[in-house]
Amino acid sequence: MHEYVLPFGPQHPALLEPLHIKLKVEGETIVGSDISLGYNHKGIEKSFENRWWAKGMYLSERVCGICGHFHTSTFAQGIENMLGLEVPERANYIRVLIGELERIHSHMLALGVVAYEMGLDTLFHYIFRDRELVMDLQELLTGNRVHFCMNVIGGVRKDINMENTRRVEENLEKIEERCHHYIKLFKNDATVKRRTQHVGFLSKQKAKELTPVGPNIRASGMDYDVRETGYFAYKYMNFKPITGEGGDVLERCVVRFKECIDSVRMVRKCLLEMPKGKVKVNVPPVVKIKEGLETVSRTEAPRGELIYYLKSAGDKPYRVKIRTPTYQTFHILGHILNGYEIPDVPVIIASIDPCISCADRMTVVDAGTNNERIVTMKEARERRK
Amino acid sequence: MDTRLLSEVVRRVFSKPTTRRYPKERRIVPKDFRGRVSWNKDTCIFCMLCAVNCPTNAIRINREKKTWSIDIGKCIHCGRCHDVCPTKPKSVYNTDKFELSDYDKGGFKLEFKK
Amino acid sequence: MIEILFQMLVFPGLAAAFAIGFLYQGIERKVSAHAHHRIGPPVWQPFMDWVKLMSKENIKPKHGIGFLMTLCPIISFASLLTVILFIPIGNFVLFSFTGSLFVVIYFLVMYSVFYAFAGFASGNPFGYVGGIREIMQIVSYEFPFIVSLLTIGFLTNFRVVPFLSLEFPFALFAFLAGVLGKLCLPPFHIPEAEQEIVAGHLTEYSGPRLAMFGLAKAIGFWVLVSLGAVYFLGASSLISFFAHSLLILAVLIIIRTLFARLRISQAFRLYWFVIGPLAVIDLVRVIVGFY
Repeated sequence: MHEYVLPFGPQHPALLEPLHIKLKVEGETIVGSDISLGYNHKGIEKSFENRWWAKGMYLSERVCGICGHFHTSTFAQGIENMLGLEVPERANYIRVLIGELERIHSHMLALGVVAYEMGLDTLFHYIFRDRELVMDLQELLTGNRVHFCMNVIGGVRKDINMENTRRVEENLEKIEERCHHYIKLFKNDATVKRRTQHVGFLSKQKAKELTPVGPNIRASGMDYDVRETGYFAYKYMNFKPITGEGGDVLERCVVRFKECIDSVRMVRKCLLEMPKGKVKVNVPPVVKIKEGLETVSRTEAPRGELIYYLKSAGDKPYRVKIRTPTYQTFHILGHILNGYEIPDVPVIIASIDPCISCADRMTVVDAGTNNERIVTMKEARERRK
Repeated sequence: MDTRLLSEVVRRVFSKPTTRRYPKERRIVPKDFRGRVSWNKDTCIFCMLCAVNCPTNAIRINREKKTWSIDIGKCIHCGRCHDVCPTKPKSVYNTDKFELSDYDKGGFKLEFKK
Repeated sequence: MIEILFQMLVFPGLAAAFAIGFLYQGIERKVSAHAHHRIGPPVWQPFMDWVKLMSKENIKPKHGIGFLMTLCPIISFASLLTVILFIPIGNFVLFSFTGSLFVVIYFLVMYSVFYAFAGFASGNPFGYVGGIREIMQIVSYEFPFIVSLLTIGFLTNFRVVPFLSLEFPFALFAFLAGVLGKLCLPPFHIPEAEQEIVAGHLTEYSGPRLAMFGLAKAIGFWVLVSLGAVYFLGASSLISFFAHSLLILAVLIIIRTLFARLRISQAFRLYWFVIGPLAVIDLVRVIVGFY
């Protein structure tokens, strides 16, 4: 059979962000792939080192558009650990509330993209129309549809206006009903089932070896979720991770919808049980942390486990290292694409929900020999000398 | 044969689209919306805290000439200037203006005089 | 003589195919946009796209065969335009004789084959994959499509005349499935899969060549919907012709919004093992005389 190389990206109508996969194809079956990232490198980790801690909060929000709140929460949690600050309970509840709303809108975007990659424009538009319900809520509560800027060091910058509770409850009811409708649709519709069932299968054994994070590993039967550790106000939420047994694209989509329904439950619980009190601790605009102090802070972003490593240099960070969930998950594509056909490639890529803005590393291409290799930070510093 | 999608599609073809026909229909933004920054010229004490704390250095204030300027190209609408302002009531705030585009980049540097 | 020229160039020939074909495509886009909650482009948008594309530069890719890349769109467009002269619309028909059905089938297949060939001529791996898929699709849908046309052909002496065929629902069903395959509408929009292979076999086409392919597809709408209205729904006067055409167009649009894209192997199996046997049932009924 004739083997040829089909380039997927960096410019492609199916991709939202640039990535490059060289697919080795025989006929229409994939036999191998070669993945490279690095087209979206923004240099954010270096920009942190010039700004005060408080200004860095706004920078960390802009690492990603749809999980921005989680980035600021993790960053703020790290700084509060280093300072030994105790955040008020109401602020913790508000962080969880806004976080779960963001989880809903991020999952709905990912599912709409899966529907688009299957060729069903109709379902894509319907899911995005329902996502607007969440966006309206976010704008009502925080002032903006994405990039809320709600977190500050020491709590949340402003309180939730309780007059909005009725509108929030209306929208949450509609979202929950639509999520149930979509689960039934994905499981029963004739062509959707044919495109998503038994495609991109990741067994539990392989998932243990390769360790993706987020709904991708939970759909293969392992219950790994950072929210179980009970940071912020998750300890009061009766939280249990949502798992599935299928391991294919259909199961990942169903797990995401079920997580949306669970998030609706948690938002309702937050609104009901939020204690009264202050929403932030008074912190000076220029925060000074002892030099050399380091900390690691983890949260569960919609795509998986998000880790921030912070090392202080007084009023600025000395080093901020961000390990985003997509960076951990992306390499499983080398294994779950093999044996499937070309039409399955965009569906599988969309089902692991990649956010390439988060996952960027520097790649050096040697123009003479056309070899590529990844450069570590240490090597780049040495080359600069 | 699942008819969930079919019944919804047929219903939708005969109902009004949800697209808002901008600019004929405009959107009312909610109360806390963070639009373009503006100053209250009477209560400002020129402490320069908003200019110093801006994450992107979009605000420039001249104490002698008593002018405030904001670079819309750099402003990220975070609202930090409003948070750190020491006066009561606050002298710098976010308005609800969001139609800020211009044909010329020079139009992004807005200046206000007392 | 003047009448022949009028039929070839104005109605139902070149000018009508141009205008009404683009109109049908525009209606399709507008109605499916309303199904998606949105407003959609104006109804004359395909025409404006054609005008814009005709005014652009003709780029020849490095590994493409320029002569073939210009020839394929012209032959596709010309073969479809010829078919319209065999279909009676109201009182207008230019060629009608015993066996004209076979000429119609021949030209319809020629349109698809040159559509596939365009992919191979462009010298691009996406074009290669798209061309292979289009050929697989032709092999799949032509079987039920031709069987359904032959079913009615036996009853009309293989001549394209208005014939109401509601006693043969399977033939109508197979014909509509074949039309979906030929016009690359969902669930069979496989060769031009935007999400998988950029634009499939049309990847390297731009400017006037792409405009002629777009025009050929629009004329395909006009031709196939007219064929359905006349041959399966029996439209003999102009008014009933347009009414039946709009009915077939409505059915195509509703089906188009409902389905995801199938893989080419699944489409093959669907055509040969599900739709094909149904069409054969009706063919056997006609041959045996059981109706």
